[in-house]
Amino acid sequence: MASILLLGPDWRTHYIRDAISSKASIFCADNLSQLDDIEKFDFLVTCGFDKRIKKDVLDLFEPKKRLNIHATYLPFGKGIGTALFSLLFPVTIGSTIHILRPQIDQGEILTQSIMDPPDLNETQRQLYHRWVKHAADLFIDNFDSILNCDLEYCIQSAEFKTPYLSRNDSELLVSLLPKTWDSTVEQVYDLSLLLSLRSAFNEKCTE
Amino acid sequence: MTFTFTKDKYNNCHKASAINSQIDQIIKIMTDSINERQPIESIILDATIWHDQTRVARLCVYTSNSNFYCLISPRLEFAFSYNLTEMLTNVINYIRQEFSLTTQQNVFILAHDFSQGDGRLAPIFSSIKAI
Repeated sequence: MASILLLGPDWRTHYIRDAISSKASIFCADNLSQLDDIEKFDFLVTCGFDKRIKKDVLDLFEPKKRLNIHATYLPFGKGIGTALFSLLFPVTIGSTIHILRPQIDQGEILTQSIMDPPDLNETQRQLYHRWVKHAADLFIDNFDSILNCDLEYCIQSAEFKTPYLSRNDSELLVSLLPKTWDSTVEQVYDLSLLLSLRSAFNEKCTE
Repeated sequence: MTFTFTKDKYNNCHKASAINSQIDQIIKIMTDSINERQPIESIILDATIWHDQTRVARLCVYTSNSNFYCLISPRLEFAFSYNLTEMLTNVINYIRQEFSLTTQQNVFILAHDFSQGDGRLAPIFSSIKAI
């Protein structure tokens, strides 16, 4: 039975572990420093893991055996605050399984799935939880192919603008919303329109 | 509460709070490589939009081919103190009255279209023209 090191917060990794534990041996952790025998695992999988993994650790695994479960439709939404980004600067929403590279969220894509557009009354928090589950389900649904390394990969498109929002940027934008993370999708769209208006004004008028 | 408009340039001389310029730096990355800055020299109206007793936005208007184009700079700290659609409707009505427009003359509000891929913005105001 293949052994998998699954890195990320408990609330995200345990859902996946429970779904695939009959097919593989899963070890969940939220910190790499807890481990001194990483090479014993067959796969390294990250899910909501917000720390950079060094190249020498990644190199212990073949590319198709070191994967990230990412809750956006890459190349859109790299980094932090990805759900907010995808609504403020509207892009295709969905989830991606990609190869882990030293550069965050840049690796080749193994599989992707598009989500239905959100309901306008859904809050950002509700959308985020639905989105995280969507990403986990994408991994679970493709788990047999992932174990067998059957999935072909493709390089991320460089055609689109994919700015990286820092945590500070995300928090600044969230601070404008009336109920921060409990604001509705409709309110985020209103903020998006306000930003679009300001951007057009700034291009053509002087303050 | 109603929206009112003043042409008093004095109001525009007051700097809005710093959060606006901070966020302008964030949104700039979405347009910088596409568009060079193209200031308009033929602004025919430079006004302040008030909601109750608060200056919620600055409005500039120019004309081209007998249509009227509005550029609006909302102050983001007041973004959710009013209804955005209502504000935009008031802007259009104000322009129509101020310049005595005929039904053949259109009023457009200009906004950058940030969407990419299959991204879809929520129902957008019908008179907003994406640039």
